[in-house]
Amino acid sequence: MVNLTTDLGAGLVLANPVLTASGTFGYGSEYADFVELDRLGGIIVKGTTLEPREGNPGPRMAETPGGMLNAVGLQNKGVDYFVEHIYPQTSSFGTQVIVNVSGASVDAYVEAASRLVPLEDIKAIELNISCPNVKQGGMAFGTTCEGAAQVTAAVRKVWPRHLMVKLSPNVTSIADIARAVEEQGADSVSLINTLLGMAVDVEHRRAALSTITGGLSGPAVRPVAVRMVWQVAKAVGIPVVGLGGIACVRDALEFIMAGASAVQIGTANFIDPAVSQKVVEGLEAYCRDHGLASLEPIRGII
Amino acid sequence: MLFGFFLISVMPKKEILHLQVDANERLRADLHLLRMRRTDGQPMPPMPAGNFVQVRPPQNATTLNRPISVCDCYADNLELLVRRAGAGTDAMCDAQSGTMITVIGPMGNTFSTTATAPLLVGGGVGIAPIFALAKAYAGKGICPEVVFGERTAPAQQIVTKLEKVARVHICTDDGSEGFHGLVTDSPAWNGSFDMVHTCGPLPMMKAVAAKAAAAGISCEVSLENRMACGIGACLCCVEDTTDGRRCVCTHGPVFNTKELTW
Repeated sequence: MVNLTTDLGAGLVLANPVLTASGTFGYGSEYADFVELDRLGGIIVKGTTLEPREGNPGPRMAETPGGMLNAVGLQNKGVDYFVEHIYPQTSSFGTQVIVNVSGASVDAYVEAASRLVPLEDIKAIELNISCPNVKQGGMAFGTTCEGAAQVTAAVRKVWPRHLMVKLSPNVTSIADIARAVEEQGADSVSLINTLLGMAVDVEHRRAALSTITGGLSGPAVRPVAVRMVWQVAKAVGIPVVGLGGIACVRDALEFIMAGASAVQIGTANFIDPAVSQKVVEGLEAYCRDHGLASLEPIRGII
Repeated sequence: MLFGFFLISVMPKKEILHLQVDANERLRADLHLLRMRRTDGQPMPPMPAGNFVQVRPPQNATTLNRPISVCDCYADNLELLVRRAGAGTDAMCDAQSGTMITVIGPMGNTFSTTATAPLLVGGGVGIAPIFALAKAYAGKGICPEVVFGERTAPAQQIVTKLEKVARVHICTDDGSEGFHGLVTDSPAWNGSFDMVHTCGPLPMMKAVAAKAAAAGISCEVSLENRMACGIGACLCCVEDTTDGRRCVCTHGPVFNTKELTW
């Protein structure tokens, strides 16, 4: 009997360690034709901000070798829309629903998080201090220890349940940032968000994205992500949630062996909308085939 | 909001379909008609005109899937018209008979079919959903007028298919067949119409929309965009509309031009 139950602490218990990454799984219902949502460890819904955001103009996406660049820019209808229209539907999903919270100022993060506090079924928020596609805030907070600590500390004061902080890979030492948010009371860290990248449309002699630069995701970033998860897992005492180019169970196991307590599936959802459930089933099969009762014996084995 | 829920509730279930290429017809150097079939004995899910599918290019030739308009869908068959435009469509055009291709769908919204005197205008590979729409009108007992614009004489296979369901007016840029000129100058416009539907290159669709607007006729266009997911999750394929930025994959690909700010 395989037990994949994953306790990330501070009240966030997952049926298994497979989450879907923010911005790649909508609000969950978009994937209900392909995935039994209650088979997932959890769903991290798209980046939510205090005020509605239109996002960036097109083109917002460019395919690159083994990956894609995006410049969506946190298009969302705002936290109040989530509270009124999305949250009531999520209770039927039978899985953990985690809200990714973003903002352009510390006050905006705090206010958005505050409005989620009454939603008792939301056991965790993921603080997005690493979005490369918004001019102010976003990644700016995530690229210095001071900025990361400041926003984490401020949200920690108002958010009473599990606080996951999503880290940017666009830094010199991600382990330093992880330690900074741990010191301010983060319950877990998730990494990596997208790598800042750029592509040029040489026929039209212009940048492929309207914003010129954007966030790179997909299998191309996976070795960078595995390395960073390994470094951070050695540096902090809180659980590490790994993501970056996971497209199958083998990829998920790489992160787990590098020290991840849970993983997120992102860009791969676009290619195979059923992939998240396949990774859950793949982890169960791996444990059975290797005589493991859980993933504990192999977690952080590197 | 209620209306929104109603739409969602009647949206057909999307499926991941593993289809076998039964025929891959090379119509021109850069244009192929792929006929694919389910091998599990089930019929294809309904894919009304305007819908598209996400195709996983054979040999995983690209990172992302490729959105392709449904040209024809009947029994356990799906037909796609594919123009070579890069690695993904090259892999589809090179697929041998017997190749298994994964296709996800149906995706997107549909053309309206409530007009009694519709004018359909297709340009290049954009004729694919226009054929599907002409067939839908024919199924309702209406023989639509179809203006088909191409740079040079179009593939006879497509014209033959179209002529079974529509009155076809060919326009070519080089005058090698039909009317020598733009689709907007075709004599077909002399008729009396209550709706224009179009799909093709963006400048052509804008010109068709302008001509329809000048004549006071409602106009639907089928847009394309760079897509990742195709199901409204990634928010990559947005088009500016009077109601803000909306996904082409779920709010479209068919838009009434009065919604667009292009």
